[in-house]
Amino acid sequence: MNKINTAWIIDDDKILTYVLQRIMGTVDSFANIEIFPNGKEAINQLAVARKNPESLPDIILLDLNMPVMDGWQFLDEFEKINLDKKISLYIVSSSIDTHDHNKAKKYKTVADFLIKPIGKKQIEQMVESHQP
Amino acid sequence: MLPTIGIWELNLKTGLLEWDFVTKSIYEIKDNYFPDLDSAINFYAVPKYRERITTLTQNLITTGDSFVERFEILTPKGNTKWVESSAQADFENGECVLIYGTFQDITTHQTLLETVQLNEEKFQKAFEFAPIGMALVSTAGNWIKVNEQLCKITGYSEEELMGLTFQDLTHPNDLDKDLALVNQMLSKEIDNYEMQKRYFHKKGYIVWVHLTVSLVWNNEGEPLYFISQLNDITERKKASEELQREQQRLFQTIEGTNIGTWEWHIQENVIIYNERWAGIVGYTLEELKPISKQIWNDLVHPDDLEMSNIALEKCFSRQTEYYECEYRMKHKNGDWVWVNDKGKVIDWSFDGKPILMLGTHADITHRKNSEQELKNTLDLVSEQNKRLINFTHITSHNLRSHIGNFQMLLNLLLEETDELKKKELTEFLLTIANDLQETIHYLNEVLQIQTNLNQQVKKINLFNEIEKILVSISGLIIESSAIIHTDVPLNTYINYSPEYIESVLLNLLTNAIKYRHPDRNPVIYIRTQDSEKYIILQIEDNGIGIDLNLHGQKLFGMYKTFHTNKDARGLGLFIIKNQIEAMGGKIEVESEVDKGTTFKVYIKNQ
Repeated sequence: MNKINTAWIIDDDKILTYVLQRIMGTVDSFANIEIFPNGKEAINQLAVARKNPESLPDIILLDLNMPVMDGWQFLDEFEKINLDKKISLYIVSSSIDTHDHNKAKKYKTVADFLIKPIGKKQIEQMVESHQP
Repeated sequence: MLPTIGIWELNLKTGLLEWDFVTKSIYEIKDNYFPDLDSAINFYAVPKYRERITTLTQNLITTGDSFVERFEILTPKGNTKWVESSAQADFENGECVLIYGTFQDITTHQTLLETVQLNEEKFQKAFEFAPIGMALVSTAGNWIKVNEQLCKITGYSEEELMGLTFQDLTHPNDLDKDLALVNQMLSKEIDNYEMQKRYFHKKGYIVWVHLTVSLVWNNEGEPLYFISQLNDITERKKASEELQREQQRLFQTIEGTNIGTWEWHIQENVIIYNERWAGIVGYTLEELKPISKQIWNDLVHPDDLEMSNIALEKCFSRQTEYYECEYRMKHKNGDWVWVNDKGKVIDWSFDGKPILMLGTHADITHRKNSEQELKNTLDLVSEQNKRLINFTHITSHNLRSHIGNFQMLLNLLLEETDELKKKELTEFLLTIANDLQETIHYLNEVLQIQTNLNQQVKKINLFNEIEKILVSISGLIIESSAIIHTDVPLNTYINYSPEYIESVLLNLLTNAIKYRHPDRNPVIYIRTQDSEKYIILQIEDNGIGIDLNLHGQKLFGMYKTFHTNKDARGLGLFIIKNQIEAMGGKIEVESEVDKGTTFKVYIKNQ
């Protein structure tokens, strides 16, 4: 099984982040998990981390509906930043609106759109398909 | 004046012929010329007259029969003259001794006579062959003389007409008028008259004639006969009646369709309207006098004038064949009337300028209002539909996120063996259950707003309402040292749901204080502004502001928060937006980060 050095969860839902952390913990592939309550804080951290590519995440789980800077706005900023590392970005949302799904396809950095709730199985597949 | 009658005598004893100077001047010979019988006869150049004068003279000498006759003579100067010569004889013992007489130049008289004769012939011919009917009619009405054309007009022969009077032929309805005019002429009130009248043709049908009559008087001042001229105008009359009927039909059609008409002489800028044209805008033509194009300009809605002028220009430059435009006109009662205006240039000058344009006005207010109502209904329904779709998405999203959490937590709980961690998970479950409860509560509240569009509205004094809210949040105001300026007229009344206006004011005012700038005390201005459709309530703060580029689109969405404020729930603006829209208004926002925010609430004006 692949080893994932760092995963970021960008979501304001504290219960969800708690649950995700617990699930990812059971998968046993994640060395390091960081939580950001909104897109803005994640972008700020990216700006710092890009100077040291080692500290950049391998996987990002991104919620869409958040205060301050939402998932879409985060994606707009994310695509502007040139990074030396391949990052697998997953949207994790409870939206089943086709409009959102179609919009997500326009972002080439988005690996997949996962609909909440997600379980251990999806996390394992995510780890499986990660190509460092 | 020279005497015009000359004297001559012939003494038969001496054979001496004597002419006085007048006679000589008629013959155009000198005084010292002494005529004799032989030379005198030579003046009668035409053999007919020479023989005649010879015979008469011989007869006079032998029988004494005097004579007076006219002859043609030729003077030595070559002039032909007419003369009247008279002659008598004196006898002695049964023998003629002297003949004498008078000699008169009647050339002028003779020419005149010939002219009269000629004229009479000419008149005769003119009468007979005139292209119009002519007749001499006795004062009693009998036809004395009729021409060919009159026979044709009436269908009777000359002989038949002679046995009839003009009264016999005249249509009874025209007889009195005709006779009255005849009497006026007989009493010398008028010299002549003209009238249009009907005759009966021999075959029984009516012939229309234009009649001109004059009266001939004799020297004693007695009326002799009428000269009547008759022009057959039956065809013309028919055509004119047809035209009149046509006009009548057209008039009735226009009346029936209830359209106004206009006729514009463009170069002279003269315009003619019908009564209905004025009626559409509530006037009579009389009231609009003096009629000019300016009347139209004054009545058309100022916003629509340009559109109409553009359409006219297109027609004048022949880009379009017909001019058509729908615009508003001011009715006398102050309302706006919708008019469908159509027209066409029907006459152009040689250099392509429009000369005459005809057009119609139709009142389409009713149709326009129906269209507007339909459009309003459609807009309302579309808007409702849009909001319901939006609501469905919100509902789906919010319920799904809670339920997703439920499922994930329950999965963890099932696998969890540690009692302490189990307790932690159970507490989470409880939190989610509460959140779900709350979400359903708010969704229900929004659903109420969405579906209950006919919320009970009351007349509310806006100033009093603001004061009431400020009192209810006075704790927050004092705590934050906020300064509130209220610049709302005391008599501002709105028709609104009391519940909604309270919610709107409470939300916006507490937001204005809640999102205050850390470096300064909050200063809030509450103002109103009147527009045609709305009273605009403005609430301006000097708070931290919102980055509208980032958040503008979703500012009023559900569960949208833009600050990391702990109290922010992302519900207030969503709910008041729904409430404001349910009241037929809208909400707008202007904001600058670090400067402040202004919310504008549009409240429908009654």
